[in-house]
This record gives sequence, C-alpha cells and structure tokens, in this order.
Amino acid sequence: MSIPNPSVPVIGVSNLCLSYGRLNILKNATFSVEQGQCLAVMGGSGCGKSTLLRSMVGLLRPRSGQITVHGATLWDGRHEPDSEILRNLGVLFQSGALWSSMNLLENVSLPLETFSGLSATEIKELAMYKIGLVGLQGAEFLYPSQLSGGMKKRAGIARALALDPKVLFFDEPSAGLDPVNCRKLDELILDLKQNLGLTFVVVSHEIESIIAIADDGIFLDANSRSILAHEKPQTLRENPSVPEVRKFFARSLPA
Amino acid sequence: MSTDLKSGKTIKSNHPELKIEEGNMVYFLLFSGSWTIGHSKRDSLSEFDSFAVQLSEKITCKLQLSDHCNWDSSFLLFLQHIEHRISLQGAGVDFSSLPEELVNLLAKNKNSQSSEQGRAEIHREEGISVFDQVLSGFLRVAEFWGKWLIFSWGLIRGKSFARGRDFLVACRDCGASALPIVTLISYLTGLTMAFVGSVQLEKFNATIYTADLVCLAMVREMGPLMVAIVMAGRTGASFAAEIGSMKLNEEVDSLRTLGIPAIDFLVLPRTLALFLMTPLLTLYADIVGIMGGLTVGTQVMGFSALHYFEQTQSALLSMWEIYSGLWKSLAFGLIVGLVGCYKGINSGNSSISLGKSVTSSVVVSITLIVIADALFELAYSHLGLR
Repeated sequence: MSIPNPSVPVIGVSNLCLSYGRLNILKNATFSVEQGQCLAVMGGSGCGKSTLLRSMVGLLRPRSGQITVHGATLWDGRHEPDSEILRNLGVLFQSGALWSSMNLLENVSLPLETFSGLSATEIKELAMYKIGLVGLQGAEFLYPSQLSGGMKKRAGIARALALDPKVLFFDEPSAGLDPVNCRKLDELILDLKQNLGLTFVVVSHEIESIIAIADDGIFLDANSRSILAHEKPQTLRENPSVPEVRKFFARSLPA
Repeated sequence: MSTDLKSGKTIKSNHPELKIEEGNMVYFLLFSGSWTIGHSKRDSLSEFDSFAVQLSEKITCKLQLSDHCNWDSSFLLFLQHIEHRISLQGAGVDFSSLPEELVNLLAKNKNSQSSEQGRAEIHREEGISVFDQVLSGFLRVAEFWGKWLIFSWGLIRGKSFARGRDFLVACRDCGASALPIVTLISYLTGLTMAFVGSVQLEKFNATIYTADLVCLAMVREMGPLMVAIVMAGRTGASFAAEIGSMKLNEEVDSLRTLGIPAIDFLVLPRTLALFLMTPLLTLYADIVGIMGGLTVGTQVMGFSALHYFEQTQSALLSMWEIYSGLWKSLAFGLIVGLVGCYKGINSGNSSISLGKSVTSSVVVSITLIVIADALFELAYSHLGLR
C-alpha cells in the first residue's frame, strides 16, 4: 500500500450500488471522507446505513461502483479485499462482536499477534495501553460475557484500535446505551479524533450524538434508495433542504 | 318487547353475557360479565350469529357496556366479529355508547389491518426456483471445499492465520476429552459382539473363533464407525454450534474485517485436529473393543487370556487389517470436521437456523460416514484387499 497522499480522500466512494440478491439497497452513492473528518451516515431504519457500512469495511461486495481507501481499491475484481488495506480500517460492531472464547486482553492482542510480528511482551504492553485508552483498566482478564453493554462497546473500540488504523467505522455506537454512557462514548470518539487524528464513519440515528461528533453527514432514504442530502449535520438540522431530512431532525411523523 | 337470550341473569356473574333488547328500528346489545381471554365466548358468538339472521337494512345495533363488565383484547376481536356479521346483513352499528378507549382501540386495529396488505408486499421476495436453490447450495459447498484446500495448502507453505494454540485446544477437545465415551462405547460393542458371536459359534463348537470375530469386526468396521459416529454427535455438532453462534454474534465478521478469513482461522485448526485425532481414537477403540471381547472370552467362555490373545493375533493376518480401518477413520474425521464447520459457517442469523445447522451437521455427517464406509468396503474388495 502506498504512503497516504494528503490530496487523496481517506475514503472515496463512487457510484456505489448495493444489493442483497435481487433486492436493491442503495443506488449510485458517491461521497468521500477527508482525513480527520467524522462522517455521519444517517437515515431511518431499513434505509441501508448498516449495509453501506458493511460494504465499506469489506464484508459485502458491491453490485457495482468503487470504494477506495487512500486511493487503493477495496473491491478489486473477484478477490476478497486485501488484508493490507483492511488493516487501515477498524470496525466497532453494534454489539461489540468481541470473540467470546477470549478475554479482553486476548481480544485486543489477536490482531497484533496476527499482523504485527512484535514480541509477546510488546504485544501485551500495547494491548494494555489500548485498553487503558478506552478507560477499561482492570478489566483485562474479564471475558466478554462478564462485561456490561457500555464496556463491550469500549472493548470493541480498543480492539478496533489495536493495529492503529487510519479510519474507524462505528455501527450504531449509541444503540442500547443509557444517555450517560452514550455521552461518554461521544466524548471518547471526540477524544480519539483530536488526539490520534483518526477519521471516523459513524452510522447512527441518535440526533444529539451525531450533532456532537460529526463534521459531515450523508442522509440515506429508504424509498429512493439513494443519498438524499450531503451536508454538515448541524446545517441539515437548521436548514433542511429536503422534507425527509426535516422530519428526521424534527422527529415528526410522515403525513 | 325484550328478547332474553340467556335464562339466568346475574349481572355480576363471571361469565360473559350478551343481552339483546329490541327498540324502534334499533337493537340494544348489552354486554356484562367478564369478556376476557379466560372466558370462552363461543356460546355468545353462536347465539349472536343465530340472532343476526333477522337483521336487515335500516336497523341499527347499538352496543352498550354494563357497569360491571371486564374486557380485554379478546373482547375487541369479538366486537369485530359482531360488526362484520351485522354489516353483512346490511344493518348499521353504533359504537358511540361504548367507553372511549374501547372505541379508540377498535379504530386503531382497523387501521393496522388496512395497512397490513401494503407491508406484506414490501417483504414478499421473488420466488426462487428449486433448481436455483440446489445450484447455489452446490456452489456454496464447492466454494467451502475449494477454500479449505487452498488454505490447507497455505498452511503447508507456512502462510496461514491458523494458530497452533487453537489447534492444540481443538485436539484436546475432540481427542482426549472424548476418551471416556469412546471407551464405554467400544468396550460394550466388543462385549456385545462376543456374546452374540459366541452363541452362534457354539453350534459349531468353535467358540474360540469369537476372538477372530471380535478382532476383525472391531478393526475393520466397528472401531472406525463407532468413533466416527461419536465424533459426529459430539465434536461435529459442537463445531457447528460454536462457529454458528460466532456468526450470529458478528464475531466471524469482525475476523473478516481484520482480513482474517474464517475458514483459515476457525475451520482449519478444528478440521485438522479431528483429522488427526479420529485415527488415534479409532486405534484406541480397536484395543478397548478387543478387551471387551476378552472379558467375555475369559469370564464367560472360560478361555485363558493368553489363548484368547493368541487367537486374536492369528486372526490378524497382516497389519493391513488395522490400517484399512485407520484409512477409513481418516476420511471419517475429515467428513465430520468439514460438515460441522460448513454448517456452522453457513448457518443463518437466527437461533432457529443455528439449531437447524447443528441438527443437520449430525445428520449429514452420519449419512456421509455410512456412504463413505460402504464405498471403502467396495473399493477394498474390488482391489482385492479383503
């Protein structure tokens, strides 16, 4: 993989079409995410937010169109995405998706053991550091089943951070969290963005949280299966250009 | 004039009661008692149906609730039926004297029913032909098998994500941990065969050949088969459940997002462990089975242990007798491991499909084991190896 070029967006999506079998999910999506930005993917339930995320992290082959990471094509021909590219992407799944047969330390260490070639002591130190970064000191030897919902998300972030990725993808980070933990998670994201200079793609429909963390946003629509608006969430809330977006931010019911 | 459909009329009774009174071009339907799920409304319904026949246009039915009336959602359905029945006759229904919340609930239910049709159309998928299903199933198996071969080749060349630790854990789980059940089953198999065989051989005064019978049956057939079936029920099912629940939990996805293929990381250590452990367990089962025969031979038939062993030894003309069984068990181990992992990897995203995957992993494994066993025997006899 080439050295990151500042003129190339971190994530570039062009004319992306997604489908499950014959069921179309998204048509002709084009957008890009710049270095250090936080892009919010918004929209009602069933509009394809999570599907778009799955495609961007290398889990779902697009029907057509391209996704690039630092200019390198993610879905190239018939091959699975290259692990060199995937290593630049960290993913936090909705429920954390920690490996339940391993404790927290092993969960964070596994990517390092697999890809870094460091010694066992170095790996342990690094993993402990990442666990501390998300505020989970002391929970290293707990198993995922012993963690609470909020801790699982933090642990998921620690694991996603293990290989120092350039981009972090979050799938509904605030789902299933109480308002306080939700707020703490937002602060953690802002903290990581500021201190590590990471780029974020966050799928969410939690308006407050989106406004707090995102610099840019795309709004997907379930009916037209396309991007309805592409703007800063703050602007979208204040001057919504499309009725659907206005309803989303005003939490009003369709007429 | 009033028509009393029920003879006894105690308003506080727990039974649902429907009284119908006739007015000027109007019928008053008065509900009292408990109109709840626990109380059958069948009688009231049939009574109402027989009453409804006399309704005609221009007549209105006014529904009223007495003060001492309990109701729940089952009452709503009853009212709906009544309304439907009345409107079939062309008569009108008047809900206005019912409590407000009841009227609201009725209206809401009607709304949701009318929008149901639209929703069903959204979720209806286009029909997929049986041919497509069979073809895609075949392609999935082929893809899994192909990837397994490619990643195995990668492992041989030293390029693999599979971890030695996982392999050792899998070896322990499907090897050492299975010893008690394998011991019990193969010992009893040997014992039973000796009993059954000795009864027949006694007719020819050849009871000592029980040793030959038990030994050959064990090493050629029963040892590999019994171990394979125990493995299918024990280990294959656990592979399917383990990998299937990892898939359910997005754990497999989180491996893939790191660029770690699930077949390499999860399937390879497990299948290889089973591939190696099954022959070892089979060898062990052969010995334990012969011990079962020995127990009957010495304790029931009264042979000396030495005599029995000598006879057993003479039955084994060459080591091939044992090897032929071990070759089979290699194949059985591979079948169980691959089927278990395949079912786990391809299980759907619900607990029901996980259960189905586990069940079908055992069924498919055992079916394939029996078919493979028959093919092995055919091949051996065609090649003159029996």
